[in-house]
Amino acid sequence: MAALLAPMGSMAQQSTAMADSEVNAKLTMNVVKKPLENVLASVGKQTGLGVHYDRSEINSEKLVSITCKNLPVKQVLAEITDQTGLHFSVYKNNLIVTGGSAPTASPDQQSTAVVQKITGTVIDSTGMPLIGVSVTIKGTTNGGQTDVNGQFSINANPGDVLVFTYIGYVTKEVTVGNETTLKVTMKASANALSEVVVTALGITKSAASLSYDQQTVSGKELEVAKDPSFVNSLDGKVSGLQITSSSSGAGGSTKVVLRGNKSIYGSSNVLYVVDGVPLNSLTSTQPTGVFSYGADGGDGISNINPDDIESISVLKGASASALYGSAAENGVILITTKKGKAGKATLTFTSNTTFDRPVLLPKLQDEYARGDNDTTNNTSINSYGARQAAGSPNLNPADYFKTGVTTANSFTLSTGTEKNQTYISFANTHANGIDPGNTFDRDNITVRNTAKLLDDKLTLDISGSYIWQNTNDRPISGTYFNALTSVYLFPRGTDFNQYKNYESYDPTRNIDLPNWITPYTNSGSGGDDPQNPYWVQYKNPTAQGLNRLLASVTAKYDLNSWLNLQGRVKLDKADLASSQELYAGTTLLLANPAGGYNYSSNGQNQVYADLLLNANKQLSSDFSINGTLGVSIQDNQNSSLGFGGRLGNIDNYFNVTNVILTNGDPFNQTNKTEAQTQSAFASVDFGYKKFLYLDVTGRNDWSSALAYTLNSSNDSFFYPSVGLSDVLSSMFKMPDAISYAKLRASYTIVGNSIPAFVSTPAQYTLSSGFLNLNLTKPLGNLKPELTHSFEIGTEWRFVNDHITLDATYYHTNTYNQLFNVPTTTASGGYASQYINGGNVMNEGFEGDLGYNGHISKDFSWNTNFTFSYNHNQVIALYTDNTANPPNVIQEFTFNNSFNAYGLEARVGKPFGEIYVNDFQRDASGNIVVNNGLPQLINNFQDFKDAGNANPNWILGWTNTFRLQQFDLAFTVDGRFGGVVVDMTDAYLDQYGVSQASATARDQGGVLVNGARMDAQTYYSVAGGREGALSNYVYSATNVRLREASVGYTFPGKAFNNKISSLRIAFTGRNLFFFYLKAPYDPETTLSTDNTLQGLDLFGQPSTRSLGFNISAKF
Amino acid sequence: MKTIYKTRWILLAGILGLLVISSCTKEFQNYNTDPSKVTKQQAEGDFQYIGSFFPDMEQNIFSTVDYIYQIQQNLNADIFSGYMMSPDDGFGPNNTNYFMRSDWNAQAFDLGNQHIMNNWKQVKNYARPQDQHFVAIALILKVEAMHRITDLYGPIPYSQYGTNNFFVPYDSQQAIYTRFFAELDTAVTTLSAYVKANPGVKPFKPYDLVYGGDYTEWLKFANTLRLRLAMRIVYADAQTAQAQAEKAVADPNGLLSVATDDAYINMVNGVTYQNPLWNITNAYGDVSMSAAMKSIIEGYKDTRETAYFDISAYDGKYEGIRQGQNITTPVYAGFSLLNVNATTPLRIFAASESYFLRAEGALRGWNMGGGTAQSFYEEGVALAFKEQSLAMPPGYLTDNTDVAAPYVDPTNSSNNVPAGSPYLNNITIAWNAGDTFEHNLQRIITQKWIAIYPDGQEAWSDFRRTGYPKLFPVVVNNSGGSIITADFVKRIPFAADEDQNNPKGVATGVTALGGPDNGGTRLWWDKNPLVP
Repeated sequence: MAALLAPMGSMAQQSTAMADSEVNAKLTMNVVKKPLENVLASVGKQTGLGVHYDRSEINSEKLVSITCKNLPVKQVLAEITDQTGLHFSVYKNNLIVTGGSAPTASPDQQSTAVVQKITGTVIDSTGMPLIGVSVTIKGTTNGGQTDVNGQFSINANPGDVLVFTYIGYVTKEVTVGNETTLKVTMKASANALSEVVVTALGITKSAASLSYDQQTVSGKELEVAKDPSFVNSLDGKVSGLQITSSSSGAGGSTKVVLRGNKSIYGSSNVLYVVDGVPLNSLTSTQPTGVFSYGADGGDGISNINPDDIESISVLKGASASALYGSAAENGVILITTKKGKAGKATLTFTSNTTFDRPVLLPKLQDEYARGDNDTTNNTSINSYGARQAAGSPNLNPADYFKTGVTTANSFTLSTGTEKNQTYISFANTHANGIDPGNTFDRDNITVRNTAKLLDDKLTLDISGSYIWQNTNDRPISGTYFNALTSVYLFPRGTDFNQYKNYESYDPTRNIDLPNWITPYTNSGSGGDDPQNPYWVQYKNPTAQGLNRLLASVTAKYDLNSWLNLQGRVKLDKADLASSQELYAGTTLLLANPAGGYNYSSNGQNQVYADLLLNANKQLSSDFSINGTLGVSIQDNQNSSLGFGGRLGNIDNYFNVTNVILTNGDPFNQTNKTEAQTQSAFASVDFGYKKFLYLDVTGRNDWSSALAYTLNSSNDSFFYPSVGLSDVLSSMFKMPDAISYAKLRASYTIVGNSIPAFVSTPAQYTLSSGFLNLNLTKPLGNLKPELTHSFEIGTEWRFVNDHITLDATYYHTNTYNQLFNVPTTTASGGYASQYINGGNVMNEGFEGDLGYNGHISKDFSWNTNFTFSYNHNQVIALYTDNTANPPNVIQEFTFNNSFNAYGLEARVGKPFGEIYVNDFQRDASGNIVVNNGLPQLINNFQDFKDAGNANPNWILGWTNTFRLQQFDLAFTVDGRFGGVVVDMTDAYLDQYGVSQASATARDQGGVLVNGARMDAQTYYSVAGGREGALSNYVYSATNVRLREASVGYTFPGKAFNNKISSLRIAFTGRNLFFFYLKAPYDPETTLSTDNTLQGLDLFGQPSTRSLGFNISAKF
Repeated sequence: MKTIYKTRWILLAGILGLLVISSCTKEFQNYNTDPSKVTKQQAEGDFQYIGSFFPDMEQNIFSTVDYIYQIQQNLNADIFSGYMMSPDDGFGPNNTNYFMRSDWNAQAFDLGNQHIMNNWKQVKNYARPQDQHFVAIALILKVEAMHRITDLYGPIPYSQYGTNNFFVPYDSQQAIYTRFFAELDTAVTTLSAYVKANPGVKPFKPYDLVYGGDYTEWLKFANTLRLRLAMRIVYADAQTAQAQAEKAVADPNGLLSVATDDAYINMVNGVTYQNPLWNITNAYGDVSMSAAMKSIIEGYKDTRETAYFDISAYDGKYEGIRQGQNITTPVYAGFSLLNVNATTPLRIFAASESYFLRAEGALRGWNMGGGTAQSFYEEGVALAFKEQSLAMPPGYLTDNTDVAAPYVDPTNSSNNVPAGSPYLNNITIAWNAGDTFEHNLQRIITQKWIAIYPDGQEAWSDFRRTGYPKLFPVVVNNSGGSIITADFVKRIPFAADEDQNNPKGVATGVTALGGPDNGGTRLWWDKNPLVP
């Protein structure tokens, strides 16, 4: 906590100390370049305070100049602080002078003084002992921690200042007097008046001054039940937050949306800011189609070591955008990482192991055998045969999956002196997925050093992290290369075990070929071509590697007590490589007889630098100002090179030299992009009497992506924000039960640039050595997207802060959205052009209601309830002004390769409306049947509106109980509203493997217009990827026990204090559903893009994780 | 003093900031230029900016990309022509059984605009006066490709192509054909003059996959194409048809007339591709021999069956699939696949077609340049065997007994077409000068149908125009009444993406079509009173 507060901490302490002293004397002085000791003597004389300082510690000869008349002593001392860097505190009529200019006294030197043993107890405001509070003597490394009874003992001299720091509590300093026993009460920093929060760019602000909703989650709360991608742990803990994770196993991407989808064609994903610097999002290609070769490759946040996180703040709106920049349009997740702490070296070790089993597997039938038309046929790929013979084997999909095991071990080491702190961490994560062959490995190493130099004026923070990650056989959604397609569609009544040996020697080809229900040369099964699942996993292996280096240097120089200059440079260099090897014997649809090979490498480099001038000054007793002036530059370079194709003559030789040229070059991907944003910004926060704050920000961005736009004053855009915060409880006398009350409001505009090259698409591409015209029509008249956001909120705390209530209403409109709009191909051969337009509205409210109670000395209960409601509506799309009269477009359809599912933005509807194929119906609502077959609509324009992919309400409820050494935590969350489409189900019906198809057959067929229609006939039309998906729309509403843990902490004395604490916990994630109507987990998604929402197609089932966690502190 | 000290820092920060901003934005245009794409300036060398567009044009008359070819032609005209049928049970109701799928209907339209019209426009815009011979080739390729598009839909955007982004009007098919003839006039005049002035010079060679830049071959191609288009409109505008046909034959540059004149998309100049039919057949397993094909080719004991198809995995014989079924189970997966290799180049124009066109012209009493209907017919049949590198079976041309054989579906007898059915192509091979006009026309078109296989687009156009050869109607008609089963499908509906992207343009198209936008409305040239 001390470290967190560093930029402002010393000021806060100083003023607190002065306030306590009740010294109201006023001084008059006129000295020019006099030695300090003379000045201090004069101060002592005028105030009647005894002045104490150590000549070996401060330079009393230093010359100072002071001219003042009847100035409060506080201000005079502040002036001396400005000139000397010395600090003053008042203790029992003594003015104690401390400073950083002299060398720190070593413990040995101190021990020569009159040392006495001080013992004491640290308690919170309810009298509950605080365990693990760090107690140090200011200016030394001497210190220790409180034990399980909140007790400590330390050797100190009278006059020494003891510093008590504890996460979540306000740091407290106590000067040692004559007492040898102390009772120290620490105030929880939940007291918002003293609470300091980290905001954009790492700037700390008083929580009271924030004019927008920002919610903080401590690193501890994320550890209840760990997920390799820590973002998933935020589920249910933050209001306004919607998390959807990719169904691609450990380390996959996560779609995190705050307060609704804003950008239709762009991304609505939140921005991550780590220690004040935007994190490169490293978005990976997302699946777009039924067949979908593309596997999710994770994102920039998924590979961060969760153990390095000190705390997370979620900024839900676009407020204070000037400081965050344009990517903050969709809200920000601010991550503060750990750094070394002064005091005794602490080594922690945590080990987390979880076991994963799939939940929500499809219900398959065990009644009918392989075949068609009620006739068993062992060459069929369907399961519409006759009734199974008794004792026929049936594959239970659960038997195919393995128990996934994820282990994460991490060490952190924190050590340091008051001047220099070091933090080192290492983490290793290894996961064996539930799919055979799927593995995930990650190593994270972080080293960070924080130092104070040049009389403590310069703070230097150097940090480096290296991430190595490798994923094999990450689950792929879609039908090709997906083992689950083969497992789920495996013919019923057939022995799956015979195919576990997935290959056998083929003498005609002299290699091993797959052993499967259909020969590899025979496709023609409707284009799905399921292969042996083990062949898919082991002989169509994919690998994705990541090497990422994050390095940063921050230097902050205190120009004086209220002004500092900070410079920062951060490099984020990520190299990704992915490959897919298709062995000879892979279905000829996807490979040649010799096989196939795809490889791509991608480098994404981001350099960020900024320079900030921060001022924080109490102008008078009533007015304060807190301001920042800054400039920043962010440069993103992305380059990729890929090749792929079918193999030539040599079987299974996976090399570019063996890839044959087919319809173009094997090097199918050579891209380089660069985008640079330069910014200048200012933020000023005026405070009045610590209860009224006005926050004004402005930012101008210069974006390289806007170069070549026609309106060529062009690459620059400005956006402002204004906010007001009023702490009612400080303004008026409130009843005792109300400990804090605040109102806040803010209005913000954020601009967001367009992607690189959009304003100037290249004229030609090259294919097979010849030019092709780029199919995107050049159009230079493009503008940055703009979000106008308004929010108003209130925060209340009752009964000594035990009960907290936050509530916010917001309203945003996002204009000038960028669309890639299809043109008529007769427009000159262009398939599309970019257009600006649109207005997407989001409004809603969100809130938190919390209770933190120390019910007795041994028992505490913390609980928090979060709720969010969002209403989204597309107000307008775009207008084609080239037409006469202008053509107003009412709907925008996302381009994907699904024939029976479409996602639209349609004027008047919420964004993300799902349209599905349905039956044609006559005037009386009967299904049109022609030639004995139900007829489908098939024409997208007439598809049925199935509902929206996004929920209306999201509720979460977290609980933590502590009883002596035991702790118990659980989170329940629920989403209400929204629909999902389960295309997997449609496939299962088409193939006759589903229980639904067997039930229909038992009943003599499917009821169509009151008569029974043969099940296979019906499902051949209604099922499958192009069928009546209207039959497969389910409510996405669900409520689940998200996570739970129960732990026990062994006190240090159980180990003779060789270990300071040891906690063992049993944890579980995704434990069970209280309510669920969909056949799969609606919170997983095929793609984290906007293009595909609320759709499942053989996605990996959700998993239930059970495990244990050990953490030890040395 | 104090104030100055602080102001200095603020100034310093401001100056640093300004330096950052002002020094770099100059580079923004650099950053925002895609370095991995080609610019016009880079393409000027070696006339790439004109020549480069030809390989793409040539490869998109029939798309060389399997999944595009499949929807552009294979699952449409290749089925409607009676050549093939899909055994795939995964398509649901679709074009093969007259449920005209909107997503399939758009492919050919978009392909023509994006790969033919667009490239032609590039060549036309950039060619200098001395480069007009390039424009001439582009015109020939444009007419060759776009007549196949208008023959699918009827009206299409043609004269107004590229004039607007969201509204481009459609031309009537009659206007389009008139323009085709004029464009061929321009091309032939330009090329003839160039060849005369620069004999043997082949500036087009690096870009030509078909004739290696030999303009004399392209002139033959243009003339034969003119003859084809002339014959197409014979029932709609007999006068123009005769005039254009005679003009084509009279041109001193001649017609495609020997096997080496066949136009193939050769894998040269660094262009390689896999024959799309190979992938559609072998990898997708999506197309097989049709029942009508088996009936005709086996009825004639025609040895070309071995060149066109493989024996079936089903029973070791050749097996074709009755068209227009709702295929819901993979029962036909083992039927005869197409005999095609990955490396077989695509043929876009068979020289033998010129003889069948001249035979028909002669039969109509036109001046086809010496020769009778019989002589042209027999030369055409002989050349067609040569084109397949097969010897014509002895007595083939004098066979006056064999007609199409009855069809038996080994898996489902309800698909059978028994002897005596009016849908059996009951015409003999041997020419009979005394036979009726229609019988001789049926002979010519039947042999042309066998000869130009697998070009289903041309075969389907001939079938719509003449009613020959006789084909089997669909078993299941999912058109909802818009297509009459006995009349067969007449066109495919306008591209569905146009409803969204060019709605006003489509409205002009529907007007020009003169009937509802469905598969049952006849095209402008489809006016033969004898065809139902």
